[in-house]
Amino acid sequence: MTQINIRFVTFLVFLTLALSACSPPPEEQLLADTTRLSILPAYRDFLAASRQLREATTTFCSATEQSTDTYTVVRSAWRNTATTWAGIQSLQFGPLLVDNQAWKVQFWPDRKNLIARKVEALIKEDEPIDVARVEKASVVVQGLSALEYLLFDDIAGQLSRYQQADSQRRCDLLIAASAHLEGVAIFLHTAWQSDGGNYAATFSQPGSNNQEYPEAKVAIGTLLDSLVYGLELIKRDKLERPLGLAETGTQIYLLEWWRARYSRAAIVANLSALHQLFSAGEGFGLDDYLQQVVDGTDLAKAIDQGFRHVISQASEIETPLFDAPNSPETLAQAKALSDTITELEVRIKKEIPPLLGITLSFNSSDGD
Amino acid sequence: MKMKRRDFLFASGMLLALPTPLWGRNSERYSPVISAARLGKGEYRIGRWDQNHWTAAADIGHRGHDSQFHRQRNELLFFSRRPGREIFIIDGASGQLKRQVEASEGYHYYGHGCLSADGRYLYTTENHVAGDGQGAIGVYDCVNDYALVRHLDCAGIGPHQIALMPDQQTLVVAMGSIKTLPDSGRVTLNFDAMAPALHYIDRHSGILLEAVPSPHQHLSLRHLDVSPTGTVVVGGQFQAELPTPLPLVYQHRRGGELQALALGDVPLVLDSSYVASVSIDDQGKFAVTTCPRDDVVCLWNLAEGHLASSYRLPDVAGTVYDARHQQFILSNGGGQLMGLRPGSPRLFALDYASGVHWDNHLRLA
Repeated sequence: MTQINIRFVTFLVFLTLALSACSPPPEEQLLADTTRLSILPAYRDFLAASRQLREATTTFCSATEQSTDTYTVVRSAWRNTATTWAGIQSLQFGPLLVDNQAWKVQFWPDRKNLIARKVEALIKEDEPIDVARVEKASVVVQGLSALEYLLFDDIAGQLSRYQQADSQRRCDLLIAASAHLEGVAIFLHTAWQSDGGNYAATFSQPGSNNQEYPEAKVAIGTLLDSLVYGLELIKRDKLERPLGLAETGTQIYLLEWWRARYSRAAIVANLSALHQLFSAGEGFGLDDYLQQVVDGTDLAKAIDQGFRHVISQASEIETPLFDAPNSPETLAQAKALSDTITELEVRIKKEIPPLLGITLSFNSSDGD
Repeated sequence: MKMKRRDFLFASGMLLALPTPLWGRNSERYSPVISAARLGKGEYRIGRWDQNHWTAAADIGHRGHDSQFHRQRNELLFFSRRPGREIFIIDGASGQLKRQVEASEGYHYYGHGCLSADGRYLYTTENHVAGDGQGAIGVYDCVNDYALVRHLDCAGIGPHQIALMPDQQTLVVAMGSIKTLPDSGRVTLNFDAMAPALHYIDRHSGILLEAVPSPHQHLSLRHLDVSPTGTVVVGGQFQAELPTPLPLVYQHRRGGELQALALGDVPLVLDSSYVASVSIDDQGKFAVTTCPRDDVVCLWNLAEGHLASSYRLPDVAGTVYDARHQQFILSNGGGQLMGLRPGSPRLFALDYASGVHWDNHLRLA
């Protein structure tokens, strides 16, 4: 009996030594797993989807006669790309901020209906429409927003528009804008890869020689900031403001992806991505860090539950949000969703930072 | 025309051949900055930060605000924000707090001040609480223990940031026009009677030379900077329903109208409509404004009158132009000091102060 105990203790001592020698500090583990399991897959998926979208527009436009079937494929590829974009929309740091890449993907909100005006103006020009022309033009005619107009607008987005006199230039723009978008996706993806800009290493290996993340808590603060940013974006910009849930009236044309009636789907994708950012899937995520390192088990569980709740709430909304102003039931669902997102945001914003010794916003309040 | 040393070096093509110590200290990436900061709960510090450490510092009992570097006297001056009543004076050589100036009975400071070009006088924006919250400009004699010389009338309520015009005779004041009194905390008492403006005041006579009203009664004009050629850039904070569609940043030249700086066709929404800090470069070509509540930094092209680019920086705070390194410096609540050069696609890290939450204003010292 004694012998077994001694053996067991010896085993434990060795195990502890071995683990402490091999495993990185929990902060680095957290950053590495979140990067590998939440962030990198999101950029990979966005790249794959935008590539398929470019292929689909090319196939559609190169056919001698534009068909319903191939058009359906293009629209479906657009939706898929919008879903994957929702997975990185909240990651407001690193390569996405270089030269405002996000604006090239999405021009939103479009308060003055610029997209319709500028896309139509570009089509009426004489200059050839290619990737260079799109790059040179304003962000208004780039990315998923311009493509949404070309594919889903009640007038401009109908298949018949690709079977008329100016259809060639519309097709040119479809192909050029989707190829340009793929270029943005390639830039973002490459910037994170170890054989590219290797931002994955920058983000997950903080230290005194890392100018951008001199301490782990700067990088962890960035993750928290992304969670709060993402939830606030959904609550305020995707629900409250367009649907008039606060005191102001409805401004339905500020709704994200209203032309494609894809607003709710994008919200669900946002929330799933934010949940994944919090948990790092099966890896050692912020949830595990809260539970194992800083005594925040209850909080981690509550936030995990909160994400599951808002995702199911959002998934249950059946009527497109664009039609919500005429559907009291949908409005009520949207309001309930907005309220629970607010609760979740407040918990993350108020309760996590003190546990991690991080201040999210000092100057934001009472600045003078 | 007098040639600056930099221009001469460029012109003579010597730049590349120069050994670095002549150009600047070997590893220096930015000029030393002075700022107020919060360290922890209830712990506030004011001082100078230079390449990874404090080179002057004093801990004070409440949140500090803007500062000035008194070059001739080698002193750092820090102004209390409302309803604070102290100016803290730190010796630039020893780094120690050497004097504390108290506001006159019945007055408090608004957190800002400026110096005359010869360094003789200090001008501060003040609230004459005993005078029912009328604004005033305190004039202090720097060489006589910062004794109050007198108060100038600034013809309005809530004078906030103040600067000296290049003529060295005129003060320009951002009149926030938000009336608060210490007894009622920071509640706005004059919402319906607000009249924010830019005021130009003669620093000797106190005469109001020019008053330029804000484009909207509730767009409180609070922060500004002046270019070497006399262009004033002023930033607003909207006090009514947010966000306002109104432009938040304007440039002005004496005798003209306020000219809005346009955002152009970008999907940038400044939800909190709140500009906290303004700085202009040494050529008057670019201005930078910070929006802490929206985590946004805007770079404005002044000649063209519109946004040149914008950057995201969480909890961004102060901004100052660092001519020696040809860059704007930005601070934030996360202890970062970041660099911004017009044309660059992103901000770059300059320094990091662990556990330091920089306050809204940066100066060089």
